[in-house]
Amino acid sequence: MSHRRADRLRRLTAVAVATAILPVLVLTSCPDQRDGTPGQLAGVKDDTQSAARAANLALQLWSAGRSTTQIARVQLGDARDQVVTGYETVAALPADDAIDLNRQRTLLTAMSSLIADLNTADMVLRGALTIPQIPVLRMRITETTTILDREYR
Amino acid sequence: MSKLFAVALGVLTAIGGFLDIGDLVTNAVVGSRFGMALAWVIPVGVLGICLFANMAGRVAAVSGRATFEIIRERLGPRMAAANLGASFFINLMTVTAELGGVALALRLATDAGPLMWVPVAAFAVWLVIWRVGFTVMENATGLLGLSLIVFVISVFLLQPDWTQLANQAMAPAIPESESGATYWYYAIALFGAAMTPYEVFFFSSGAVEEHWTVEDLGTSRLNVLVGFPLGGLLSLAIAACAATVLLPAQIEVTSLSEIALPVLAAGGKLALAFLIIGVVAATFGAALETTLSSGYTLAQFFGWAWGKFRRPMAAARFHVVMLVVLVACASALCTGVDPIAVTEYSVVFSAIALPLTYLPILIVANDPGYMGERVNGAVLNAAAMVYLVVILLAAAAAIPLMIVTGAGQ
Repeated sequence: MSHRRADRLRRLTAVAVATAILPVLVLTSCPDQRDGTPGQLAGVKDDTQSAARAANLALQLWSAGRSTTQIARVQLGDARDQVVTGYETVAALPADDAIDLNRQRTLLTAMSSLIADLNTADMVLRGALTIPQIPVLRMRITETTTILDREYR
Repeated sequence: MSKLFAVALGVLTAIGGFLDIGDLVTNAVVGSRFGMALAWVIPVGVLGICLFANMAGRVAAVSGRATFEIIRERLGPRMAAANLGASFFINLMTVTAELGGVALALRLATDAGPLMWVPVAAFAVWLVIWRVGFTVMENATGLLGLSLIVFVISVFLLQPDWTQLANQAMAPAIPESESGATYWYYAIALFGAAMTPYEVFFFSSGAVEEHWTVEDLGTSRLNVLVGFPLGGLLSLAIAACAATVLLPAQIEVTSLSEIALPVLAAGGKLALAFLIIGVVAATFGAALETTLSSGYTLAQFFGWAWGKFRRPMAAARFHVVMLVVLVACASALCTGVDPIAVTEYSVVFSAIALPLTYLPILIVANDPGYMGERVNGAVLNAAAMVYLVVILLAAAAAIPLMIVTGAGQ
């Protein structure tokens, strides 16, 4: 009887330990914990480039007359909001070393430039500005994503 | 002839009403990140919802009562309360996501920001629930939702490399930029989006609203077995559009406006008009269904009078619940919470709640006390058991995968 009880106790302890360890393992493997600052910087870089490409495509479709000014502006606004959210994340990240600091600077510079270009494009779409023209802005946006690819190491 | 028309209308409504904001967003996100590598999940999910929706419709038609009423009576208040808690919570998230979806869709067509549209959308949902008849409400939103066929047309207009798309779908491979955990996280999200619990509660309660009897079983089966799979085709088309335009351009979908990019590339402004009508109708229809489902589940659990076939005065508590749910969800959106994020979480939490929703339906559908001779057959039970295992696995893996992948980042 006591042997069976001891067995049961052992099994219960094993289950309790596994139940306690599992959440810890899972929580420590969440991206922010696992990848630290470099991982978060890389994530924001990808998001920023994706937003820039989406804005570029939106402008291309608008220029080709396939899109309305209204939806193009919504698409630019969404892209800008995504970059701004990333900017806030990156600006608040504590850099661990010189490499991270350099990546952070590169990202922030590129993001500032993108935000300015997207805001300018929005003004052009609204008719509030005539210069620079959309092809020029598209070129600048493409250039920023290329710079990010080249200089972010 | 009129019978044939009713069947066709039901099928068309089921196709148009199949998609909601969860399907729209998840399919587009998946297409833009994995191509068609997760296409296999859509038929799996569609088959599952067909199986259980048909079962719930049969229970309602044979017994004349909605699933939740029977669950409480058959399984007792504790089991029913667990079911209610999970379903109601998921429902709240889904109502919030759908209202946000309506607002985001209207924003595509106007200058006003989504926050301006949220109260309007909530008021419109309440007004339709209060004033419009059940059948008219269902058919109008379902038929307008058919505009989403624009995604299917867009796929053809985009002239994709069909061989490549087929290869991605038939021999799924995880892209280098994605991890295995993210792949499975989105598989569960797609599965949850296809099998959202509210669909079954709504289908079952809708059967009672429309006074189905055993004679309507054939129509119900056609609606489900033809309408839902064709609705699933729309899901595949959304993923294919994203896989054709957004994946090669390395654009990951994070907003509703990005879902419009492939449609604009394919069909220009005309296609955009159909897209906006379709998205508004789909999300508005789903907002109606989820809001009604909130009222249905709570009223059926507590034994209150419910249903749109009754005058609001005769089902006051049912209507108050829906009003409170709408106000609460609209208020949550007005805090500035991102509707797309709510949508992404709601489909994953749906997957977690699935066992609590579908196990009771299976038990009731096998009870001769309610079903008489029309209990499930052996084949149907075997299929349902296989699905329950899949549902349990998905539910168990959902939260760990959500944490490990940072909600699919």
